[in-house]
Amino acid sequence: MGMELFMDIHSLNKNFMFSIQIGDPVTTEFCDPNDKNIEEAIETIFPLDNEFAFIIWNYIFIPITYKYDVSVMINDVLYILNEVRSKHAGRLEVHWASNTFSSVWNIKFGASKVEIKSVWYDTLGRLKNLLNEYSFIEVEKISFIEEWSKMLKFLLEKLKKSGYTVDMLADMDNLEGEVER
Amino acid sequence: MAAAAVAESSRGSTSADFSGASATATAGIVQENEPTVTSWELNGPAKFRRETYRDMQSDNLVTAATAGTSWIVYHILDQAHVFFSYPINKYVYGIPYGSHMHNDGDWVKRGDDIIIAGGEFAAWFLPVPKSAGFTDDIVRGFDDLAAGIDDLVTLEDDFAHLYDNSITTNRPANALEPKDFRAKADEIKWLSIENRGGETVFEWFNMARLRPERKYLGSKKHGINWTEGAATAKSLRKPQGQWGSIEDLNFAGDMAATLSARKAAYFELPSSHSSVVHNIDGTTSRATHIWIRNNGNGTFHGYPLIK
Repeated sequence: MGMELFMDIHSLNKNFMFSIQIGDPVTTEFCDPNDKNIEEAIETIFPLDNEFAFIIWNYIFIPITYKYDVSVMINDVLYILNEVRSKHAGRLEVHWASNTFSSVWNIKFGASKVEIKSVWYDTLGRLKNLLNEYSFIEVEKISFIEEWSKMLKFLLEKLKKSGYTVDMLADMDNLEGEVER
Repeated sequence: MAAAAVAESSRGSTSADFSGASATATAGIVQENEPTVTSWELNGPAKFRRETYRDMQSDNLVTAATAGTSWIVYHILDQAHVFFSYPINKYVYGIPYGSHMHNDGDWVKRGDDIIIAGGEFAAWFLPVPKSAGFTDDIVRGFDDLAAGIDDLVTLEDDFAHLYDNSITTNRPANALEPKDFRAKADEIKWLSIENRGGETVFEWFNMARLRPERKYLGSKKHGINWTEGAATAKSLRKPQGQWGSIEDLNFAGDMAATLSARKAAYFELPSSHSSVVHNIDGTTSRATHIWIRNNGNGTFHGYPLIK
């Protein structure tokens, strides 16, 4: 019985799901010439009082703020996508750096699939226990990339609309390059 | 120095050197009061290469060959032994807490996180800040390590013997007498990082202090001049940490330098810090810890918090 339970541990939750929901947040449309990278610029162009974006993890909606979560996550997202795109297979351990999206993702990817084993420490709302209960996902690699790409494309548009250019932000070319792939 | 006696020829190693995980190998080398090693870290020689070390008896810096050192972090639990092992020369050795002195003049005590560094001719003990950043794969690595030890030499942990043969001269003036210090081990004051006579972990390890992300020097999230901390805490119903000073960021940079690239950990703040946490009720509290991630590019990300 123990063996059966062990082998079937993931079949209890085959309904894996990963998606990112972007709404229509307002932007300040302010361009701060002191900003030197996309993390700072994203924090600048979104006000605190705004609608949330959502990372949807196994149908659990995790709210994230554009100003203080997405900005902190952006470089890790670019890192993940670059690794997943450029390598046939691999493993990543990502310690998300936002205090309101505090989790560790152990990502394993192959030619067509992405698996993530996660440990959650804190999020907005009281989702930690629920997320840790459903902490594993397995999704199509192309789907995983596309979900993040929606967010990246959206952010690039907003940055440009606010007046930021590649010349102003040291890592904006990375964002552009990822969006154009 | 008793530790030096067993560190004859340790060579560099990383967790990748060991395979065939087995917890039973660990159990086989201990007698009673087996410590439960819940956290540890093993790094390769690149992280620890010094030409000198501080002799625990004379308190002098002594030239030593340290090529190919390895170091291990153990968290000592509420048992009388700590085990350290030199995976290459296959020694495992037990010492009672309170019988060995940190390099800062304090004594190993229960609950300490210490680094035991094995060189070619010496081994020594360094305290490290409390942290919760030890990861499961490191714990698994310990099993791997233990499984690779097939010719163990376990020395008797005779307290008096260790004392007499390890630290008999030039003890700190405030050190306890041997008849007392086992009993009083729990009372020995933990010397925090800022009280270590100018020595810091990153200096011992010859590591470069990591730079804070530049936003922490300004008005962005968690930054020294951030003005939206209180409003953010209230709006999001989550406490928000804010760096208090350049000194706090320097401390964080030192701690971040002890982490592998892209790894994160909590560290206790030094008593002199000025970092705060904005609470959701509008009040402000003094932070107790920081969460730090080595970004892997020479900078760190992090924030103060209450833990």
